[in-house]
Amino acid sequence: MDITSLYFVFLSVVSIFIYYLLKNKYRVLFLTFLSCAFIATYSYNLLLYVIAYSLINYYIGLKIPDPRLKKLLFTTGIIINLTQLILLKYVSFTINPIFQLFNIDLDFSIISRIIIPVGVSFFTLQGIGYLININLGWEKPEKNFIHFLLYIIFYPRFLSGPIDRSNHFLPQLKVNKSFDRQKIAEGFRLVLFGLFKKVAIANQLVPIVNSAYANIEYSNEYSLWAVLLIQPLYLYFDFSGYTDIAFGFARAFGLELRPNFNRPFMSENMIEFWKRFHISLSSWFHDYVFIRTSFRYRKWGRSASNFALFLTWVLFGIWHGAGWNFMLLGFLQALAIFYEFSTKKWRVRIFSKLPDFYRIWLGRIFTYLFYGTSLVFFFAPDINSVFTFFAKLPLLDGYMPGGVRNEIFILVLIFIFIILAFEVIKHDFSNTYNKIESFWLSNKNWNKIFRWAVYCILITIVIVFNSDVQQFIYFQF
Amino acid sequence: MGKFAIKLLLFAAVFLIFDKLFIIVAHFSAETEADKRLEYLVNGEVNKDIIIVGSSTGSRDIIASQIEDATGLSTYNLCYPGSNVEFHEFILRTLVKFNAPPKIALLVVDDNVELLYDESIIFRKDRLYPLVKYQYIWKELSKWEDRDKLFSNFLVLNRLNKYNFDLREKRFTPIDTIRDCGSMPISWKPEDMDFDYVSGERIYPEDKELPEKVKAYSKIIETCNTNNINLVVIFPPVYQTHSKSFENRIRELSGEGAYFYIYNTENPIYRNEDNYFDETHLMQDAAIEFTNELVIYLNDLIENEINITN
Repeated sequence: MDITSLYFVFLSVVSIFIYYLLKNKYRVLFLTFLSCAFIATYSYNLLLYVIAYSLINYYIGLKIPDPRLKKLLFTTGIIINLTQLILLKYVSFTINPIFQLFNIDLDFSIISRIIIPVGVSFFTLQGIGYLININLGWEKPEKNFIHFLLYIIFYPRFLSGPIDRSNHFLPQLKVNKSFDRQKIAEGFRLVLFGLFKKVAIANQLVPIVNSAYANIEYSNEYSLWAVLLIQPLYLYFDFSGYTDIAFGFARAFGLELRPNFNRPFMSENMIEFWKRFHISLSSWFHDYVFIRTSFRYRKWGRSASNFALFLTWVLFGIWHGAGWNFMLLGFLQALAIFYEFSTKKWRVRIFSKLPDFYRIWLGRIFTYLFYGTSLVFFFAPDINSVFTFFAKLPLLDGYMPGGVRNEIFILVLIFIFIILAFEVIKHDFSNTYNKIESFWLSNKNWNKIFRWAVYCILITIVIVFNSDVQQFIYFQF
Repeated sequence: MGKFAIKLLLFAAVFLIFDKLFIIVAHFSAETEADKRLEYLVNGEVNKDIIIVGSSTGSRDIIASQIEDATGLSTYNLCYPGSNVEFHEFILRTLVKFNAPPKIALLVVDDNVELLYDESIIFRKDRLYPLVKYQYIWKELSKWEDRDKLFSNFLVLNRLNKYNFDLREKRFTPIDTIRDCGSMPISWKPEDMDFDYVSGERIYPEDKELPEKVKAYSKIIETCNTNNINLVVIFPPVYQTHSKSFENRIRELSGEGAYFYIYNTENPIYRNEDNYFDETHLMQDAAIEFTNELVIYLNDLIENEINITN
């Protein structure tokens, strides 16, 4: 059932009134029944699957506190959660290629065709989060299965989140709710606002973005620039529209969901951006992957957080879908955050000299442009399309005189710029140059790794570009 | 110094690992190609009775599927626009190395310039770059570029060219759309295409021949002889007088190793500008006519002169 359909809105509004007419003790059961009915509109198999999934997690959660079984059950629970996620969502990326490599004629994608795994990425994170919370003693196991089932399948957020936390959602089910007209009105306002965002804005941008990605090769080059600039807005209005609808109905039922957006385009850098955009997902990965990994490898010192940073964001990327493009999407975010962390001191020193207005807006514009550019990895159907997209942007497509491709020429201009920039710094800004030089020659581990990485890149360029052997000009004299 | 040497070795080891990441580029590079014919060759997937080798004249003027229909022999066009005789030799050599040798090879020669310097026909290295994942290909490439074969053995990067990093999905352009049979006939031409018929006797400048091209041509004859391939050298129509002196030179170089087919110089359609895309390439309808004439010759040859049963 489409949540922007009038049918859905009408049924939800009616359900809200029925909900408050019922006695408190029947309300959770009613909401669970509504959620089951909602899932059944997608697939009965999915409904049965989600109930079975909830039962397993519920049972494991109940038994985890037992010290004899704790480790075994927790590990088993995580493995079950991840395995079902892989089977339902990542078969084409993980298992099938391995079978093909060994010429085994087995296609596991049939599972996802039977079950139709709508919402699987979202409810799996909720299931894993619950088990981790119990394992760490952050909350007690839920004894009421219906409550737990509702935590997994609560229909306003079942399809696309926000990803809830059990210790945030479950306690709300224990509290009696009275009919609060103001809250219900607020909820309906949110739903209306969400519908407006989705239908009047996002849906109108869909054809522009989709048609560009459906046929990148034949898209007008200038329209690709437009798509690059529009796509963050499209994604924001689409997703935050959904979130507002989910929030609104949840609030009308007397339940609060975790926040998902907080004016993300006001962010001045990517670190801030990810505290404001898809908050429920980024905070889930922050709390359960980044913090846990940094803690686990704390002996490594700063390397532990760097490792955790890249691991977290690559997983974040993969969570979005099975493909190299999603992995690179996550990696790019990690790279940006790593850059922002590592250069914070000198950036503050340089940019604090600018008036606040320019500093803030420069930050916002750069953040927006970076996110917009990285979204090519999100919208493109595969990694080849990503390359095609960037290559098709004007200035990058075509030839210079002599048959030199434009992108090669631009690359050469970048090389020239870097070298001349260093010459200018050496000539006019000796202090800065000395600092760069001491950073370059420092024997600290990270400086060494950076130096070696630069060497590797330079050698790569030299080898690859060396295929067209040209004599030195002065050989003729 | 010892420490420094160890550091260098360590760096070399790190670089070697880094280098191996580029295997992905080499693999993607082949996948994004639109023209897969060379890859089919290397994979041994071109086992045909008749193959056509040559440059753009061969790809535009001869329609392989038409020959196949008329002779009953499977036919495939392996002509590459802009390629020279050294490239044709490479194609033929690759064909017999990885595939069953064809019964008949049709070599379409470029009137007058086959063995001369001409900047429009080259060894098409660009067709080899995307396939560097194949050892055979990068070994061939290293002959054409100043690349050390030894280094290429263990450095993936040494096999790559900057064009390998263009990982966009390649598509056929309207003029270079390859049919299933490998031919690329042209069905349209720009309105401003204008050229005049050049009449009069044409002298072939033998003294300007490039030895490497003559050697490549001789190797084609040798490859065909060694592999029992019946070689037919084809002189396609051009919008000028047929160069008899060039024909004679090719006959001389070929010795007894080839049959020759010269287009019907009396046929008026080859004197009509409308039937040409430019001075040396036929439009599709004329290509069909030319292929028809060629088929008659081939059927006669198969019937009377050559043995194609193995």
